[in-house]
Amino acid sequence: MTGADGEETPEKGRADEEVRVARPKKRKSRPEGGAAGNDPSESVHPPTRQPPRQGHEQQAVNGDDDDDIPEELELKYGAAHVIHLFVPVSLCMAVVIFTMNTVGYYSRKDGQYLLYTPFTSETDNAGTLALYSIGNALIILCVVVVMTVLLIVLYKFRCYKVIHGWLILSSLMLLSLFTFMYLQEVFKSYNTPMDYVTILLVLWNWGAVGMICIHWKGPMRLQQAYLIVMSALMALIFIKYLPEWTTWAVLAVISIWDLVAVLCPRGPLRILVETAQERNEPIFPALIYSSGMMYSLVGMSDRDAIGYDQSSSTATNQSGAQAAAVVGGASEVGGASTSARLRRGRTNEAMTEEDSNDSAAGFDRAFVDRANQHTVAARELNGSGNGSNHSNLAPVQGNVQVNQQIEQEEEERGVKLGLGDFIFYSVLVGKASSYGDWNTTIACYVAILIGLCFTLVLLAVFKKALPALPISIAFGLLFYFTTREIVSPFTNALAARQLYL
Amino acid sequence: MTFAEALGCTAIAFGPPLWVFVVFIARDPLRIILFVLGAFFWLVSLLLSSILWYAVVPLRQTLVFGLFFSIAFQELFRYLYFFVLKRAQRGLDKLSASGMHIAGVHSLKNARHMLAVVCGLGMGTMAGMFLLVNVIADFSGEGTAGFPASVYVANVTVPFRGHGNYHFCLMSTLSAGILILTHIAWTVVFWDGCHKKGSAVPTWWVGLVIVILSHYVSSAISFYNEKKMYGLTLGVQLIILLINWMFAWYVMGGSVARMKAAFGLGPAAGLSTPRTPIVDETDESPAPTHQRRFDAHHVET
Repeated sequence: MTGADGEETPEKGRADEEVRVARPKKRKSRPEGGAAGNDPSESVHPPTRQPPRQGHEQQAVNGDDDDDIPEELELKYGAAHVIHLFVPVSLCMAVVIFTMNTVGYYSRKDGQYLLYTPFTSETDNAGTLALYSIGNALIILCVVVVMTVLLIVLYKFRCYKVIHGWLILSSLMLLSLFTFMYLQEVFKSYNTPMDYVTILLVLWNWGAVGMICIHWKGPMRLQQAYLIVMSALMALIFIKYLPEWTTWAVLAVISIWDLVAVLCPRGPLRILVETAQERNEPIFPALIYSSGMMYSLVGMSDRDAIGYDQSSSTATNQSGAQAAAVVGGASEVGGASTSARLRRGRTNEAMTEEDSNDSAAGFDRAFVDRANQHTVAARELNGSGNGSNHSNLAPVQGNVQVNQQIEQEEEERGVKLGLGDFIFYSVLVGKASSYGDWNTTIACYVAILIGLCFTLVLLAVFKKALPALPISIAFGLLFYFTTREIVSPFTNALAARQLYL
Repeated sequence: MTFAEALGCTAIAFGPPLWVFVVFIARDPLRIILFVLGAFFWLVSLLLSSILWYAVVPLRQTLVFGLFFSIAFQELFRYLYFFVLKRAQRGLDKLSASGMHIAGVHSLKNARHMLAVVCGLGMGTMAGMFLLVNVIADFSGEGTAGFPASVYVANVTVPFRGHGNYHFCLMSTLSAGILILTHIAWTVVFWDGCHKKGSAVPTWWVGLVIVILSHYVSSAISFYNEKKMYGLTLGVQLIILLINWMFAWYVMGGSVARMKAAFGLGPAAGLSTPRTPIVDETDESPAPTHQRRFDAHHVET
């Protein structure tokens, strides 16, 4: 809390850049990516950029039913990808909501605000308030625009060192200073005494691991966790240091800006995404959450069969992969994937009539899909769900070599969502929850998820980078205000009389 | 009235739905989305009914009015949801040539009751949450002695009947829990009626009438809650729940033999019984080659 005002600049800048979504970015930096890339789902999924080619490969692999699999997988994987974003978005929101409701600091007004919101004087006049909020929001928007343009310019001229320095500095700040503030407030609110030595030790480990995971390499789950936590911290800062109504104005303005920046022909974020695609590079890992797949349950073999050479180190940690070292499977949720992989392994052995690599690849995703579908049934039938999950590891390991290349591809796939989207979703939900009305919070949450769904549906339709904020935030704002003013009184009146809706 | 009670009430109301969610929904991404979509549809229906309630200022105190239209809107949106899914299925059918196997479409076609369970659970969960979450939140504070004697709601002071009522939270919880479970059955029966109308079965309206009628009855009976006649209201709601579950079970093709087969699975027997056929259908449907591979494979595992 102390000095928070002065320190805002770097991570403010960072937040601006984060206001973007660049999901359909599909990196193809690996030389043999195409060769191994007959994962059918790739042909249809938005993150891929070469649908026709992949589709043909699929055709080659699966003969007569070429059209079917992409369709099926589109639906299935579309759904799976939606869930892969639902979960982190929900987690981020949950952290923010939980904090807002337990740590008084973030919902308390201290009269301290961001540098960029000069109009903070308390007033009850609605007109003045509206004017102030819009003024503040526009100033913040200007900062965002300037920062974004700066980033684009740096990126255009390949000043990677500067950008990385900037990003590293801002994430370092979030992971150290703001985490420290957060912990301090948590301990205060739970009335827990804590000594500096412990805190420093914890903070050092936390920060160091975080920096390594985000900017260099590390398990993808860990990287994702760090990105979620960073977004949550940033969202809490926004909630705390933006004046009441300015928050809502900022949300509206930013989502409009997101629309413009991503969709306009000369929109900065669009330029960024396109440039990155031209250069076959991932967008900086500190800016984007990638649901991207990977991660190994078996992992850590020293096999170097793939042997690709990553030219850019960021590319490596973007996918979180270090694929040569870590051979990942489908990171479908939990046990489903494991059992899926077990079955896949057996299938590969059974299917001798086809070239094993190709058939495995063509088969693989579809198979996981099927397995997912049947997991419940299987468990119900033989009640051995848990057992099989564990026993899977060994067969999978045996199968690693066969599936290595597929898994290479898998880890690259995935939907990408800008951290800015995480932040502003969480700001909306967190702010909504700060008034103590759970109905509003739940309504906003569901509305944002549905907005995200719509965005992803559009993504599947247009197959290009889309702004994730506008639809979700519009839904969120709509449901926030209506629920707060209209729905909640109604339901509260019903609940007070215990009427049954 | 502390954290423990809040926790207990949450578990009572949302435990069974959570179980249904974990067992039937959580594994399938598409089902999760449909679940959330169900919640959203319910939310929109509530929004419309609330707007109506809010707009008609003179009747704001008369909650019967708001409630009546709220239920009408809910059933309307239940139908809309069915309609939307039907349309989505048709669109996907057009996309797909003969013999094509799309997971989602397939489940719309052959697992329609499961679909209804998923969507109904979404709607019910949302309904239960809107009724209950704030009550639980109010009760969860430490040493909360109870509600204030009145609350100021939308420019109207509503006397708080919960004042001095020690069973308020628990009774609300039970009621909400029943509501959530009933929503599942309602959706199954209602959508079955819609489906039968589509296939020109003459008795299609029976399901719709049962659902709408029982929804109104269970709502109407809840006015006795103000008189603290909890036994009556909860009893009637429980009976309605059972009737609807039985009907849903019948609609799903339940029989005594199946009930026996599924014995031990508790109240979800009606649900879980048709699961096996559904899965089998999925497997044995005319499938492209890759599909057959799965099947062989599935058998093998």
